[in-house]
Amino acid sequence: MTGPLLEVENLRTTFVTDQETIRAVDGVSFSVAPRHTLGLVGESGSGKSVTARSILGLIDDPGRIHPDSAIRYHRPAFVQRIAREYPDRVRWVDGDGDADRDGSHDGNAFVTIEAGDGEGTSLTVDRGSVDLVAAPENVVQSVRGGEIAMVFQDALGSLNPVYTVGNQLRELLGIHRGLRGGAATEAAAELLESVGIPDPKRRLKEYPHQFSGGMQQRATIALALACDPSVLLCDEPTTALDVTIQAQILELLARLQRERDLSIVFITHDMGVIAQIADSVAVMYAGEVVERASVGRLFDHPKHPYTQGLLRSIPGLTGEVDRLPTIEGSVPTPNEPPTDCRYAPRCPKAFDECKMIHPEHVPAEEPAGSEGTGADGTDGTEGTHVDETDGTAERSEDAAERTGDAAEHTVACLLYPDAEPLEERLRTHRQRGDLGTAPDAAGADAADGDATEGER
Amino acid sequence: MSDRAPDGGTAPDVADDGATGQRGHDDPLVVVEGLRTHYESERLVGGKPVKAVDGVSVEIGRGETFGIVGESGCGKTTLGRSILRLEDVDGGRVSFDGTDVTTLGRRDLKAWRRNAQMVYQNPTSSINERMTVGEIVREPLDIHDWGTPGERRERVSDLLDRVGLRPEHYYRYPHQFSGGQRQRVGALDVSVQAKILNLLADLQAEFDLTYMLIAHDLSVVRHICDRVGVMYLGKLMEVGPTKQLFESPANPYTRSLLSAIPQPDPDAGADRITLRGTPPNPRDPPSGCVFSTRCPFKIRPAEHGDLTDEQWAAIEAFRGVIRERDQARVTVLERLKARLGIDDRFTPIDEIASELLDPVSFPDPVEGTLEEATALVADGNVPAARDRLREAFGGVCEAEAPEHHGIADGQVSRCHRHRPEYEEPGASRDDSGTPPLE
Repeated sequence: MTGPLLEVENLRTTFVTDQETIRAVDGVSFSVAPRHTLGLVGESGSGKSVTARSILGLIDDPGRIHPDSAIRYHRPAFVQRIAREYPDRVRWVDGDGDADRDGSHDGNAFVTIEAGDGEGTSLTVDRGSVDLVAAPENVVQSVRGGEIAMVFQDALGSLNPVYTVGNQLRELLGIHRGLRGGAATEAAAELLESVGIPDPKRRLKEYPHQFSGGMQQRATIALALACDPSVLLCDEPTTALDVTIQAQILELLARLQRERDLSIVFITHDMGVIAQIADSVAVMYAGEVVERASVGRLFDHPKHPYTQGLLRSIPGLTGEVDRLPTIEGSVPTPNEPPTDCRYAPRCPKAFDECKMIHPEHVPAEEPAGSEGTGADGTDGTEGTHVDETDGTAERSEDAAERTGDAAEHTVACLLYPDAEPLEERLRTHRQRGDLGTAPDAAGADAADGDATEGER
Repeated sequence: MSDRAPDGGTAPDVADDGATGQRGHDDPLVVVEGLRTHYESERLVGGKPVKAVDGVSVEIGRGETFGIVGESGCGKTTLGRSILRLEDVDGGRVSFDGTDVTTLGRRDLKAWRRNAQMVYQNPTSSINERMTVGEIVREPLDIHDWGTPGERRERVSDLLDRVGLRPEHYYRYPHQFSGGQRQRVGALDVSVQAKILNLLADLQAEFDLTYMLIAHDLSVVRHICDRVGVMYLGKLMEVGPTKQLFESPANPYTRSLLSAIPQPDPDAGADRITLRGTPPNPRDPPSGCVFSTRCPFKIRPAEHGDLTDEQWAAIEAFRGVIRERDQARVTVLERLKARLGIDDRFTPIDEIASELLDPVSFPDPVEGTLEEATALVADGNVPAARDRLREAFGGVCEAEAPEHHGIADGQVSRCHRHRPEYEEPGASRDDSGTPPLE
């Protein structure tokens, strides 16, 4: 598999209350390659956790995932299984993303097959995806059970206090792998051992409260692994732990990733943890991703003023300085469609236009050393990416291009692409904004009305 | 041998732990000597007390910011509470500006607590639910008779503003704040955290405050403290000026703790020390040095000098399992069941032994000891097995509690490796510290 395993595109999760619509996640896009770790970083209130919960379909009323959002899961075996179960909701596309094969039901399709063969029960899929936003609840449920698992910050809270750890593991193993009795016990002990819990058979008979904090988090990881997932969503799994225990858990996750070919989405506010565990990073602010880059690029060449501020305000990094640089103010609660830069009120580099134009993702320029090519080089790069945040039609194709290491570095800020003069930059952002939000703007009007009816 | 002899002039009930080592200030405001706070066992028979604070000596200078760091359960909070006499202490002395507060009567105690305030880490529990936020923040100003009431109110609005709360929040009660807003008083996000730290610094400059900062976030401590003490399982393992302690930590625990902090640099971390296991049960602390069960720099007994790191790792993992069993096997009934073989709670020890020890081959005498211990466990005599293994493999680190050794100006560390006959922790890295577990 060469493409991404999990792809989130233009994800918008809103919470509708009597007074306002909170746009907790507002047009977030990222992708996770197989066996890679994506770090999702931001302050509290930036929408990281809601993003993760949206992927798993764990958004409760009054929360809604906007129907224009897409959460595509690509594991071929899973896509194949679902395609066989829902033959009339499959659409075939060729390499260009155009509808293929006669009789495709594009209207309510949620399974997309890009490469495959056969029909009915002999259908095979080499490349394709299941869109979890459009999929019926029981498909989402089977993803939650067997494909994507989640580890939460509050380990004790995710364990049932009245059952032994062994009972909880055996129950899951029974549901997901059909194991019973001695076989289930053996498998449960193996799982505990694989997460570094010594003397596992003794531990199986203990209750969660008898475990230390670090051991509890190991146990919840074991529970998450019981269904043999391909993707692990980790929501601040080490934030409540001491640093030496945190180091153990981070090492454990890295080892499990190697052993089990896991893709990991790791949510944290700790830039140190991100630096250690992530391959690529998406920086979130007020419901939006403001910068996306490989971990090396992000720390060496942070582009967005917010990312730069985050990195500067880590105590210890700045050494002898008496006063820590701070980011004034706090994360606003996004309750209007973005017509400006949400960071502008706190941004030291903000200028007038920041309050009038919503910045779109543009390529960040090359690192200082290799910048000899100047404006031409930058333009060239930009040309290949210009469609990326465009309208819906060509999305899957472009998304396929930006897979792999997600090494591409993009930033949503009017300062970029900084090789262009201001007028040019503003035009670029305006253009992309118009293309990108045209369908959404229509949807936003109806967001709290009928348009979302029938969606999960 | 310690470079600094224990201070002979201290009170007789002060533990001998090189109290003078911590004398880091010409004008000490708070002097803590051999402080011990033990919690009694909840069990009626056979329980051991938890030595939450076990012989801690420290001096905090006037206007100084002294940091105590350590992981949860190390006793740092109990130490803070003991100094304020919110806990009954079992030994040692705390004097404040020359007055022994351990002997204060009720009224004087109240005055002392007014002088020394505790700010808690947990945002919900540190906020008095029955005071408005404005009152809470104004309290220290009232105590210090700062300005006129009007000026105080203005000052409070100013302070709230600085931590990102609006003036209208002044009259709200804490429960009317969202979790996030409450955290702004307790500080979680880095940008907010930075503001709080700056605020603390401002207050210190303005009111000439002395801080003892109890934290588990080492980067915060590094930023704000003049001197730092590192605690592990009730003991102060190392004390020193912040810069020195962070740049050249002497104690193995400090080294491990610092190395575990994830650096915001993707290229860092190649030589990170990952500690094995979890902090020991404080009810049953390790013999000798409290850090000996996890120490990556543990001194290996000379007679086993030829064992490889791999062999040591296997032995330590095996010992870890037996130690945990010894602690877990709580009731007499369970002990009985185990002996009669009707308890299936434990994996048979042979299985554990073969899993952990068989992949590695040992010299005959070592093999013999391990078999002996395995047999003892099989007979249900776990404590004897544990003792047998300690005798054979524990070495000096498990036999004697290390003393404080002076390292450099104002820096002291509690570790056998500072003795002249051993190599310093930096020189010898025992890689069995990198995990059998991970």
